[in-house]
Amino acid sequence: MVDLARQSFTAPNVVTPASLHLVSGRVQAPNSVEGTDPVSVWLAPDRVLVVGWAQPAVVAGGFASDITDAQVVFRLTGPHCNDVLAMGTSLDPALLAPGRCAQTLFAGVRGLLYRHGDAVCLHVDRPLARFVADWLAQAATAFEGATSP
Amino acid sequence: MRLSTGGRIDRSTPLAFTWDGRAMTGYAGDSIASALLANGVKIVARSFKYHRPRGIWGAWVDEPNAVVDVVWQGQHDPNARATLVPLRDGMAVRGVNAFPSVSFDLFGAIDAFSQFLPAGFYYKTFKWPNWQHYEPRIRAMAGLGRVGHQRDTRAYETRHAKCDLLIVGGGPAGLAALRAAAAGGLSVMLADDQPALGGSLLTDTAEIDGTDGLAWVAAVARQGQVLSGTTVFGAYDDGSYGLLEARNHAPAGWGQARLWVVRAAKVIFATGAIERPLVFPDNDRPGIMSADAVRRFLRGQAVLPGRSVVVATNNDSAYATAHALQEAGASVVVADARAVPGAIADGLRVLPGTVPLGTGGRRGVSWVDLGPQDGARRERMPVDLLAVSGGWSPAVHLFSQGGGALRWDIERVAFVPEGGATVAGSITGATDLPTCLAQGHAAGLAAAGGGDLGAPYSPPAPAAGAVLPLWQIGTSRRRQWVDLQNDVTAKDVGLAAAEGYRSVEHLKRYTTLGMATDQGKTSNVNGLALLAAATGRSIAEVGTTKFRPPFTPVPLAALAGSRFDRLVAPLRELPVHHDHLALGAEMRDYGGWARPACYQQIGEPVAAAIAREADNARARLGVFDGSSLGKIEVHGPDAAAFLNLIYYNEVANLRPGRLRYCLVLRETGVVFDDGVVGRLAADRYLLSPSSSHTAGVLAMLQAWHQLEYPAMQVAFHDVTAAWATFAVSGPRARALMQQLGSSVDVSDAGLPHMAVADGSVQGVTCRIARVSFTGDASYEISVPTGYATALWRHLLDLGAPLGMMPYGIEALSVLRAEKGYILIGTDTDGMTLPVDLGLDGPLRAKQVDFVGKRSLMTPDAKRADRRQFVGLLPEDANAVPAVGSHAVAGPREARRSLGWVTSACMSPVLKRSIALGMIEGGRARLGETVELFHLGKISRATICAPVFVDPAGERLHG
Amino acid sequence: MTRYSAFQLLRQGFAGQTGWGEAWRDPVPKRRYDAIIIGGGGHGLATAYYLAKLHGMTNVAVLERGWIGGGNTGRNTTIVRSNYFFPESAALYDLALRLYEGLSQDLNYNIMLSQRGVVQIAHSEHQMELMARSVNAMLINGIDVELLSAEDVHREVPLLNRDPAARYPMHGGFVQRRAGIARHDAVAWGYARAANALGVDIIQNCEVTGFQWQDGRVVGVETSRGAMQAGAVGLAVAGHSGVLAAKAGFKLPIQSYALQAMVSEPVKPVLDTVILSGATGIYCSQSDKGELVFGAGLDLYPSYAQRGGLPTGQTIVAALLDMMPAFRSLKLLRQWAGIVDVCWDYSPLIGPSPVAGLYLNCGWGTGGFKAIPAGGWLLAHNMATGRHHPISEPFDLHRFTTGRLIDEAAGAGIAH
Repeated sequence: MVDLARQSFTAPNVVTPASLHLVSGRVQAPNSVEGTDPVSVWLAPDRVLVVGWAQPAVVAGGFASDITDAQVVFRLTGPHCNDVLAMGTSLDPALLAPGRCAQTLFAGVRGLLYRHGDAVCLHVDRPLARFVADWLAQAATAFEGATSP
Repeated sequence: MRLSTGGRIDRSTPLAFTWDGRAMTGYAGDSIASALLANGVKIVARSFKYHRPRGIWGAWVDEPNAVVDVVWQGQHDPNARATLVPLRDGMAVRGVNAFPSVSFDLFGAIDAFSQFLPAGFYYKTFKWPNWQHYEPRIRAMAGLGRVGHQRDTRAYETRHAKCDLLIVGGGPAGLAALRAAAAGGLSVMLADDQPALGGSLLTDTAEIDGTDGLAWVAAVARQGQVLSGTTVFGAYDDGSYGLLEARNHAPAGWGQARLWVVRAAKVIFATGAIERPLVFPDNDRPGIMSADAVRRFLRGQAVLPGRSVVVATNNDSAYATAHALQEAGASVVVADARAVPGAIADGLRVLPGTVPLGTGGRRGVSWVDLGPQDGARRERMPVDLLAVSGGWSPAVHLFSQGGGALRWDIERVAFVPEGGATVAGSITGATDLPTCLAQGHAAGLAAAGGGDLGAPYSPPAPAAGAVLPLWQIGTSRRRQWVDLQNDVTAKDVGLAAAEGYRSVEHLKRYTTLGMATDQGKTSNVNGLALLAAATGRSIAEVGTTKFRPPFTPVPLAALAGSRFDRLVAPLRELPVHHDHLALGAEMRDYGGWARPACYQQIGEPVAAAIAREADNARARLGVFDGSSLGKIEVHGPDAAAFLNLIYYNEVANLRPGRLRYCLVLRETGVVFDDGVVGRLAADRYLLSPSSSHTAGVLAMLQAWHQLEYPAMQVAFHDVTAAWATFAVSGPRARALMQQLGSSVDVSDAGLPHMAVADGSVQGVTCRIARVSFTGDASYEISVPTGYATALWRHLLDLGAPLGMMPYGIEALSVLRAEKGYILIGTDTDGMTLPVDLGLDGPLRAKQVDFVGKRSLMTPDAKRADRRQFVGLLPEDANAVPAVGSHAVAGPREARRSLGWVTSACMSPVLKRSIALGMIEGGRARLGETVELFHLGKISRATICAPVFVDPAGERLHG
Repeated sequence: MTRYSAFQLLRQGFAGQTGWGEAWRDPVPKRRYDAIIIGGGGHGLATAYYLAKLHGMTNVAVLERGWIGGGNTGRNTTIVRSNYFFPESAALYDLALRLYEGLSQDLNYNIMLSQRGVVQIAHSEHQMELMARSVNAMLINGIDVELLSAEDVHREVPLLNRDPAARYPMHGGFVQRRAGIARHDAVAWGYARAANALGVDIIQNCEVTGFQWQDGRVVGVETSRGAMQAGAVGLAVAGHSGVLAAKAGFKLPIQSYALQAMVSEPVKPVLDTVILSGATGIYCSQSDKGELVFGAGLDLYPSYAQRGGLPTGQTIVAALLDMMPAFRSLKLLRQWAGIVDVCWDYSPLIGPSPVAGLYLNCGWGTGGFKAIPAGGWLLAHNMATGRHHPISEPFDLHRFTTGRLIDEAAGAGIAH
């Protein structure tokens, strides 16, 4: 018997939460982010995304779907984080205050954004992660050795 | 010539450049235009139609003539405006649209025939034999620069930003507004299109709040986000603005421009005004320049464009240029059209009541005739520079784009904006610094909702003299030019009016006035004033043409931004994308996903690979990556009832653990998608829409639920990317599944065809569905995507001794064609109804309403001669008919299409060609032979039932 | 009307261009006309011309709210073609193309028809198959088209992206050689001048504010320049069809979309045909002035495009530059949008309205310019005889009741 190994998507700035669950039937204030681990991120009037960071979240009740492998999470940090966000999305940065989240287009791809600690987390569908990673890699070169903005 | 001192140029850094191959020098701080002027270049271009020599008129975006070709560091701009491009070391600048050069252009001979080539002449001739007889030569004459074969491989940055207030223009008015608004606590962005901030303060020194004007500028600029070298080129819906920022030092691989998309809650337009030319005979010679531009070149780059100067004007503003020229050592005479010039004339030689009546000089102006408007007297003065001011047109372009209204101000002789507190500075027609500062201050305060900051102080200016409306000077047989780039004369305007093109928009389109690359910045108002006179209307009645973005031309590459090369549009990747590549897969874009068309072995052509894969899957065992197939989980007490409304087929009576092939229709009854619906529990379903329609089906579910049936308790989760799905298919499929050793009983009884079960394989959650798209026994194994690579490789290992090969989309297409299984979008299109596919059972049997039902009852839906899905057996068993061939009836001269071939291939089992198609009344024609038409050739085929192999479906059981 | 010809141009050259008469009069509106056309765009003006020319009806007025040709006729990207899928559409658009072919002579006005060919490009095997289906349909319907291989396409359009790793590689395509471009303003002005010469009154700055009724029949119009009686009234107002239909008390199965168009700075000739992309919906041609004129279809590629201003414009530009990388050195000179009215099946509405005395010509969507001569010819026939011509019959409003739609988008999978 061969054990089947689990692989996550690898690229610079990618973090892998222990679990991701889509949960319907949960009501939360619109665009709110609650908790630290697990974190409950608002998606729709009756739906949230539950992110288990260090360990898998236990989701009881309601209609829950395990989508841990369906998304790739990019963690954007550093001095140019806000600039990269400004390049990738038209979202008003004020809407990414702590405790707030937003769903929008990032680099033309549907994404979920929220602050987590000193970083901004960007969730995208895994099939589009390669495109987003390439986009981020290109964006990073905009800040290398620039002599003036 | 270049003065030895002065100007904001760096004399310690000489820059070498070439103009039409001749080596020249300029300095950092020069534009290409100022460098050319400093080097004494008079002729920089040729006009579009008559190829008349053209010189530099303006200093900035108003320049209508100086379009040049620039190559620098491998980058090529075929249509660069010389006044906007900073000079760089090593630039190669060339004139365009002339042969052999702009300096000496053989095409200039056309001008001799200009009397036969008025505006719109091409509408009156070139009809026989037809336009195309003449078109190639006309096309060759048209166009400015030449597109090269170099490719600009740089990406361009786009930035989004949001602010409380966007101020357009960084002159005194804009900066005063910034100062007031920032004090009021607003987040302010200010964009100014010059390389340095300050607007008019750069040209004319002034004192503000007790300090030097430019020092005041620097202090104010720190109070907001200021973007220099940035043009706000467009006002778009939702308070959104497009900005183009010039970047002089972009990182390697990035272009020299950045696009900003700014959302502003409020905006203040402090965009200034553009000087108008005077329209007089022979007013187009090189060396005739905007008076304001002359002063800008003088103060900005220490360029003196001439030493014997006449300044011709109808307003006060040109006097500042006259003084500046005199201080720089030129001899100056002012020809003021007004009878009484003001105190500003002190120290200058002024001829009141005098206008230019004509000019001469073949390669640049060398004399001008001056006299009263009626031409009663003429005095000829030798000049090498004629500086002209016909008044000022507020730069209302952006304001108007945003929907602002304009008013013709008789006193100011200008179109001014009805903008209230959203406009400030010379855009309102104001001419003096204190007024501009006060207006900017008021606008900034208004935006901030009030405040008690005092306005900036500047010493009062003398009252401005009147502007004399002067649209055309004298009568003369010499031409008077209105649009310098497109060669439109005052006479052309009169001609247009006489011919009935009286609307200002007709004037523009008929004469092309204002349609050149300068967008009429210096010609629009003169043109419409002449039109007013020619049609006996007031200027206000004539109005302006509609202002459209962009304000100045914007590089296409900057608009495309980072959507370049691989980043043009997203392409979805499968979880084991790289494994497919390693196996030699030819990846193609199928509905936005990169999927293997086939897996080529070394040296194997594509067609052979497809045939090998299909043969092998039919005979032994194949494995297919179906991970892109949609997966939507549907949950809730009303799940069954809701899905029954959406789907064509009955789904409420599906038992848990069972699957059913179903169609989704649009409201028009047309088949939108097909797929398998699985019931997992009483209140839980799993839908499998096709890869390219998953988003559409999900949107449909959400829309019907939220808009029509919100009381139903049901929710939808798109889990497509959460699972990887691999299908193993063929006579040895069950053997493989048994070796896989999952917890699911994969015997024919344990997991019958169209059943699904959850379980685990080697400790990993899995779901196994018994569903076939090949016609052979087939199992789809789904695991969480993280295990995709491991499972895929494991399956290949297990399958190797069983003769398993991976097969791609094309081989799958062959296998399903043998069985007559439809492919949405291939065998169906936007007109296909279920009855066309032979699937009219649910229409008759289903009790409840469903999306599209009513459309299935129309007369057209019930026609007997609708195209129906059938099989075709070509007469020549070795020839595969082209997909897209039409079945035809009737004689060759009067053929009628009966339908078309939708799929065609060589059948691995039958070893002959087969096809599927949609044929009129096909089901009633089984056994008939039909002609197939493809690109003029005819072949023949027999209509048959759309299934070629195993019609009873026995192979499904394996 | 002074005849337009090279000889006259020469003669007027010596006479200082003083002898050209008005292209059209600016008459005082009469109180009664035999026919009134609402809408002074290409379709409306063509209708008036054909009423006068072919049906002997000269007591006709065209009422235009603004300036003639100022609506979609003056805003399109000037493409003319008849490569449509269904026999009904082929008949309609080829009637238009055949009329275009003789139009400069008919109207004595050079409309600058350049039959330089329209090349539609396929970016996948599947698209090639769909194209083959379209090409065969057209050949059967008597339309001149040729299927092209990838090499053929690159030869026709040398600047096309040759990189096999391009996001949308070129697989082949098809060409209609008789298709091409024409000068849009000239079409409007040419019809106006010719109609005027036959006695038609062209009345600008005249807005229709309502209808006059008698026994449930439209017998006239109320306008900003007074009321006028009419024997028959035709509507040819493109984006405002719904507005006027509402004034007449009925609804139309139409949705309106903004359709963007863009123009680059003029350059020397670089593109000798019109190109359309099957993947991105981009179309592009080079005007005789040297400007690149381009836009995209309504169905932009999914999940990426947004409606409205800048984002849509950026998407269009990115798609064009991917197909023609050499254009990266060019600049955008002008950008605008028209409002197009689209029927569900992307085919027009021609024929009687639900109201007696009122006739329709609308719903042309993104394809109105190429159809101007046929739209006018058929509406004129309808209004003059009270009956459909066989070519316009399938496009009657009635098709939405029977379900017999002519779904070009479905049939051919091409944005038009």
